[in-house]
Amino acid sequence: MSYEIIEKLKKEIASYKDDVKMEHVGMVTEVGDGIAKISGLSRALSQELLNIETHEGDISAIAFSLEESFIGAVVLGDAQKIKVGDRVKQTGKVVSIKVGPELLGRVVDPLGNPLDNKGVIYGDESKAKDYPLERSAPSVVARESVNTPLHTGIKAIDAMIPIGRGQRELIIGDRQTGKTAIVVDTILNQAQDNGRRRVICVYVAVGQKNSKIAKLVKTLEEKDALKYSIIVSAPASSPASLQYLAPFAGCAIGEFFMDNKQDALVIYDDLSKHADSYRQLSLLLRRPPGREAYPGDIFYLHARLLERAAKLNKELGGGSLTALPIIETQLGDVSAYIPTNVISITDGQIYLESDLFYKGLRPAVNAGLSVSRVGSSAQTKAMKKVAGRLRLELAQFRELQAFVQFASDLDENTKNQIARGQRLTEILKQVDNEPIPFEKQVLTIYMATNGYLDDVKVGDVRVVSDKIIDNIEKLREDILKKIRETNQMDEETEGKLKEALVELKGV
Amino acid sequence: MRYSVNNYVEAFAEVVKEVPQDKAVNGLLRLLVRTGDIKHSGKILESIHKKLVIEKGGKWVNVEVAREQMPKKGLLKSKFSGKDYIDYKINPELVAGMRITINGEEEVDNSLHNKLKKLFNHN
Repeated sequence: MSYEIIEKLKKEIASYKDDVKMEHVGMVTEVGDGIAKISGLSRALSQELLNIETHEGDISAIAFSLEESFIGAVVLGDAQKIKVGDRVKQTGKVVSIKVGPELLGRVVDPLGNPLDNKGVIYGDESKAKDYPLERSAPSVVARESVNTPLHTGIKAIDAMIPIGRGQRELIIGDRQTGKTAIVVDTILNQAQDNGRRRVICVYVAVGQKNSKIAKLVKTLEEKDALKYSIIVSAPASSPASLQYLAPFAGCAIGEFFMDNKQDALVIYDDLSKHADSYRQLSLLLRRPPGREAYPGDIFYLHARLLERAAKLNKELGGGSLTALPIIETQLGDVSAYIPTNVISITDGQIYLESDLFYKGLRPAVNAGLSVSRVGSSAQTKAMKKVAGRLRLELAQFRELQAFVQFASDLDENTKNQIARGQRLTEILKQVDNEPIPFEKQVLTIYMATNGYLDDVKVGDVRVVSDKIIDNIEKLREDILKKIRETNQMDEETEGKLKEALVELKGV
Repeated sequence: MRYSVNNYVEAFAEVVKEVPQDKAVNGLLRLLVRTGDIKHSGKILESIHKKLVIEKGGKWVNVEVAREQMPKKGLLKSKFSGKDYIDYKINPELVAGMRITINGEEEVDNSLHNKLKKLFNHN
């Protein structure tokens, strides 16, 4: 063993080239709260990676504010090791992360270091690619329209607020309304969404509790979903600099898969905390505060991040990067600064309401306020066929809902509409961590919108519909298979389904 | 510090254009006593000196050597112009060799410390 070490050292020493050259240097003049002020380095680039030479080793920092006589840098390591007078050198590189398929199933920090005690990520680091955290979004020419669905496994979303691959759909709601539950279901559903390319899921945790991240990892492991997922973790205990970088790191990882002709999904949980960390850094760097003390470029921060979600054209491989940012509102206030910013950047939003959640309507999606601006063009024909009617009937039900308590005084038609609406609301309820494949969703919605559940008690609707679907799966698998494979429900399949439903209801 | 080093330097550089240098220095010292920043006078005066050298077209050169008997000062001085200011310092941390920094911005590090560091950081 010692022979090998000596040989390696000999090789290193022999191959060392003594090339003395002029380097640009600076000096730390002030340090504290994860921020360092550096004099000199007048040629440093914005976002350039700097190397601070401390007595305890080198520490990286990012050139953040380029002022007239100093640089405001964000320290990426332990800022307490840095002392005034420490030398700083330019690296000529921007912050980047090493990416490769080896990242699948791993939990990493925003700089790509493993956090899961599973050892080193890359056997041969030279094979991993360096992806810059900040990169310009694909141009108009490089893109094509969203045309493939990204099924979440949640009936209310896949039917009424469909998401396409390459879309940016915001998930917004108060605390404890099931925002993370939706994205976890979406990750789990990718394992059963056959007939399309498997989506690689990147979950970015910004300012979350470590216990929450550990729980998520456990769930993904138990459901065998970790093998196609990557978790980028910048928990609440990590410095603001890492929380600020985490979404960009997740995006860079997603871009690697997109560039390799694959479909990736990046979940930013959540951008409210990301905005808070950026505000902290900006205030410490003495940038002028604006509305709610956020800096003036907070809109650009999120716009440039979310603009990187794209569906690439066929010449570039046809890969996609879907973004699901999460925003936490305070007391349902969607008109606050960050929520309005992100709403205007994204291609739609899924609005979750506390009231609905406490009424037991879970997922607590407010179908009236939620919208998907581009997803409908990616929806499968089968789902489109049944969902149009669902949306219409639910909208009518919402208008009549106020009259539910006067049901006895209403005419027959109105009563029927209310009864149908109640059943439709019931079938949209779902439990956590049990996403439903799209073909089963189509059947359930078909049953409810075509009156097959009208004579079932509201409280029994879910049980009855689940039983019918189970029986169809066992006895008439061909119907599900046809919908799954063709993504359509043609007349022949519809005829077969009607037959089966009449038969099974009799049973 | 009541005012930053840069503020003092900028103010002095402006004043010295209008009044004789010795008068400006006296005024500055009085000001430093009044503001309580006299304890930082070394740093402030060095910064002023540096600014004046650079403004006159010279270079502020810091030469760090590992040991006292290192290169002859005269030989080194001949490599620079008369406008340049050369500051010598002994820094045992360098182990051997020397490090030259120009205007606090550009550096040639030919020390053994740097060579060893590069050798061990090399992948």
